[in-house]
Order: sequence, then C-alpha cells, then structure tokens
Amino acid sequence: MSPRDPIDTPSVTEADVRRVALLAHLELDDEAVQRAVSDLRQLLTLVAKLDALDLTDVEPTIHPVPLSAPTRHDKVVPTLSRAELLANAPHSAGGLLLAPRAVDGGN
Amino acid sequence: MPVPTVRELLAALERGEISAVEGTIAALDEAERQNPQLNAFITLDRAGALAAAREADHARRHGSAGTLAGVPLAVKDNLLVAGLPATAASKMLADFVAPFDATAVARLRAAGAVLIGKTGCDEFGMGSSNENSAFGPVHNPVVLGRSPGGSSGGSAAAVAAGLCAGAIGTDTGGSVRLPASFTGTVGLKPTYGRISRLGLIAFASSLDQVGAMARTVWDVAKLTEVMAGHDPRDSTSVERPVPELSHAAESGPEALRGLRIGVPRETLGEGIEPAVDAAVRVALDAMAGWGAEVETVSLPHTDYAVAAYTLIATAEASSNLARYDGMRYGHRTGRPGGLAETIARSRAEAFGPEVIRRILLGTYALSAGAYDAYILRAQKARTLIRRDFEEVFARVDLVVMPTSPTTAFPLGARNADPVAMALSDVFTTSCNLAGLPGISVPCGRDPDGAPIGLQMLAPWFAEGALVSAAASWEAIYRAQHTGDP
Repeated sequence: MSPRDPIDTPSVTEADVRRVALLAHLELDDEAVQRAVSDLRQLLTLVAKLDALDLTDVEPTIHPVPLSAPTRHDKVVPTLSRAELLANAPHSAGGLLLAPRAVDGGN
Repeated sequence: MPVPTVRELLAALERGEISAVEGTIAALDEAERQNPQLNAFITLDRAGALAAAREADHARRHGSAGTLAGVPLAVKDNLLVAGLPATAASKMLADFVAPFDATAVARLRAAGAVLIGKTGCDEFGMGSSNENSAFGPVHNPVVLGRSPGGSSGGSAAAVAAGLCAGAIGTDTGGSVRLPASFTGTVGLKPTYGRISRLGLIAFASSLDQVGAMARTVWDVAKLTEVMAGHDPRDSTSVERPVPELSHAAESGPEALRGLRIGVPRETLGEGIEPAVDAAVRVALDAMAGWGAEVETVSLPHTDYAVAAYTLIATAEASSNLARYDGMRYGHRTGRPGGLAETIARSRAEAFGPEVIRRILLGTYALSAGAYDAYILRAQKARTLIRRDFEEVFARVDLVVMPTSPTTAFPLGARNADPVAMALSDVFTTSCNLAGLPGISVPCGRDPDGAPIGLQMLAPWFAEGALVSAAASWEAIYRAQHTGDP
C-alpha cells in the first residue's frame, strides 16, 4: 500500500453525515448535521496525515497482545439475578424488558 | 487538611496513630469541603466508605488486615463499583447503578481499601481536558482556571488536592498520564493486559487500561500491584506473574547507574513549550549525573500516532457504544416512536457532542468503501509505531520524554477545536497503540506554577524497571524541591 495522492479537505457532505448517523442510530437535527459536516472534515484532515506513509507489505496490528479464545468447563456458575439485571432497565414488567413495537406501525 | 499518601497513611494506621474510620472521615470531610470548587467527585459514598473503614479497623485489630486496609481511594466513574452510580460522566448512564464491582475495584476492596466515591471524567473517557462531562468540568487544584487534563481529571484533581490517598483512572490515549502531568501527580498506565478490563465501561477495547494515580511512585506501584494479574473473565488479560512493584519503587538515584535512556528527538525542541523542554532537559542531565547513559533515539512515526489513534479509537468506540440503545439500561427518550426511532432519539439526546462526534467519525471510517482507506491504514501505521519501539528497546532500557508538549491549558481554550484537543495526546498515544507501560512523574513547574510531567516508557511487561527508574528520578527531584507538595 503505497502513499496515496494527498487529498484536500475531505469532501464529507450532508448526505454522508445523514447516512452515517443512520448507521450509528443517531437522530440528528439539521443544526447537528451541519456541525458534524464541519467536525468530520476537520478530523478527516487530521487523519489524512496517514496518506503519506508507505504501508506496502505492512501487516495491520489489530490488538497489542495476541488474542485467544480461552474456554472454561461448561459448568453453571452463580451470576446476577433477574432482578439485579433488570434494576437498570428503563421499562420492565413481569421480569421482562419492555420495548417499543418493531412491527405493525414501528420502523 | 490533605489526606496523607498511601504509604504514610498505612504507616500511621499500623502504628495506631489514626484509625481507618478517622482517616476516612477526614478524607470525606475534605472532599465535601473542596468539591464545590473542584467538582472532582460525581458521587461521594459516606455510608459505604465508613462501613468499609470499620471493617478495616476490625481486621487490623484481629491481625487480618489487607495490604491497603483503611486507605481511602477514589474511583473514576467509568469503572463499576457495586451499588454506586457509574455514569461515565454521561447523561446516558446518569441513573445507572453498578450491579457488580470491576475486577480492579474488587481487588482493591479485597485488600481492605476504602472507596470514598466516584470521580468526574470526560464522557466515556473521550477527552483530554475533563470538560466533556454531563456533570460539568473538573478544575485543576494546582493552577486556578486550568484544566486538570483528561479524561481522568477528577481522579487527578482529587489526588492533587489531597481528597484521597490515591485514585484509579483509565488510560486509552493518555488519560491517566496527561492529568497526572497537569496536576503534578504520578500516573501509571501498565502494559495492555496487566489489569483486567472487566467492569471498565469500554471506550476502545484494544487501547483501554486501568491505571493508578497518587502523589508518589511507591503509591502507584502499590495500587498497581494489588489490581494487576490475570482475570479469567477478561480474555485480553494476560497470564503473567505480577512483579513486586512496591519493592521496585524503593529505588534511589544510585539505581540509575548504567541505565540506558533513550530520548526521542521528535519530542524535544520545536513545538514544545520552553518551560517543558527546559525541565525535561534538566531532569535528563540530573539522571546522567547519577550514571544513566542518555542518548538520542528516534521514533520516526511519532507524528502519525494521533491520526492512527483517532481512527482506531473512534472506530472501536462506535462499536462499543452501540450497546447504549435505551432498552436494557441507560437513557430512553421521553418521546418514543417505533423501535428504531426510539433508539436513535435516545442516543442523540443522551450523548454529549464529543461522543457523538467520535461515534460519527468511527462509523464513517468503518463504513463500506471507507474501511481500507482509514481503518486498515491506521492499523498498519500502528504496526510501524510498534516497530519503532521494538527497535529502540533493542538499544535502550527506557524511553524518556515530556508527557505533554504543554502544561495545563485554560478551561475553554481547546474544547471548541477537536483537532487541537486531539493533539494534546501527541506524546501519550504511541504508548497505547504499542501496548507499552508508561508513567508520568512531576519534573518541574512553568513560570505560572503549572506542573510539568516527565514521561517514562518501558518495554512490554517491564513495569518493575519502569517504577524503579521513576522512583530514582522522584528521589532526585524531591531532594531538589523539598517545598513542593
């Protein structure tokens, strides 16, 4: 991966921000979208510094220590009770979480 | 009256000069007295702290006291302390009560420590000034009107002001070391994997680490020793024996003889505040005077660290913060619609502007068509940064440089400029990207009296050598500045 052609202020548009906000599940009003366009352009200009690097044949570092997937014996161990787990729920009843409808009139 | 250091307090408790209850009351009273000005604490837990203090006194009377029995500590509010709020300084978690202890917290409790409260921070650990908080900014107790640094600003302020003997913070891109530097205290970020991340509210999982903050190297060494060690419930926690760090922290200046110290040419000179540059050079000369072999080295990719860190951290944060949907915990909007609408509205209402900014950048960089151009490049840059350290540590034992190019900046000076704020971490982020241990220790003041921090980095898992060198420097510095707090 050779150095890329340097880019000027990245061309983040309002449409880009609205698309990303949808992916990130963030409802932004028009003012927030405009602010985000400006912020993203500034930050992408900062990170464009990496374009100058010659990354040919460089492997990515995903994690600072080798990752593994340790296993344990399949044994039931005590954990939090249902009451403890639901204690922070915004809406619950009968030991269940309550959430808005996702179908039949939901999004 | 400031709370004594961890070591001083342990000695006084052992001699019976003070009880844990008396020490805890003194700490809580001091915290309550100063908190209106500093805003260091989000929650103070008088009842819980006194109960723990009574247990510590009982254990000491019966010869079963733990190694930190009766020592009042503060915990950053992105770490879970069972039964106490864990807000992460966010409206999203303003009403969240921790159902269990973080592993690091549980180990401190098991050692008999008294947890007096939860300290303020930048929201979800995102910031370098402790101004990004739903609970208001934290103030630097050493220099009025200045930031204490972030994101562990509350812990740093509490330690510097003597409201507790020590505190726990977290460090993703410098968030223990930078506030330590700005407040004239000591902050240690261990090697990635040394301290369990279970119960640490995640920001960037490949970068986050718990770190100790206190007024002396011995104190942070002791706290780190207690918290460190493998946790089977954190798959990123490493299985390596924990060295006796408090013993390593007994080193005097003579331990510097023959120590090979590398000073990166990229971290001194142009772009560094003159007082910071001067103080660090004085420190290096002093260490050379005690026999350290100081040489100039190069970390050629220093200039790319903030860019790589910004992309990696925001990408990981966008993923970690996806869990806050207002369904199982956290803020749910009072104006619900369908499911997707409710989630999007809840998140937008409850996250602060810096958090939203970072989620958007991370999501953008991860999105289809952008991943290779941003995230993959950043991960490859991370490899180059790691290789820089591998090459340098083949020649030297320790890397020494300023913790920050500046001293504490005024509150409000940078929070409108996300790029300027990001660049506060220019000397701290490489350490997180590589996974190295790093410590900040005081090394002077600027003409306004603002503290200057000296940063030391050691090879992976060499915390013993790190605290030994830091203690040696501390002994030299204290001999020169006996009047400093």
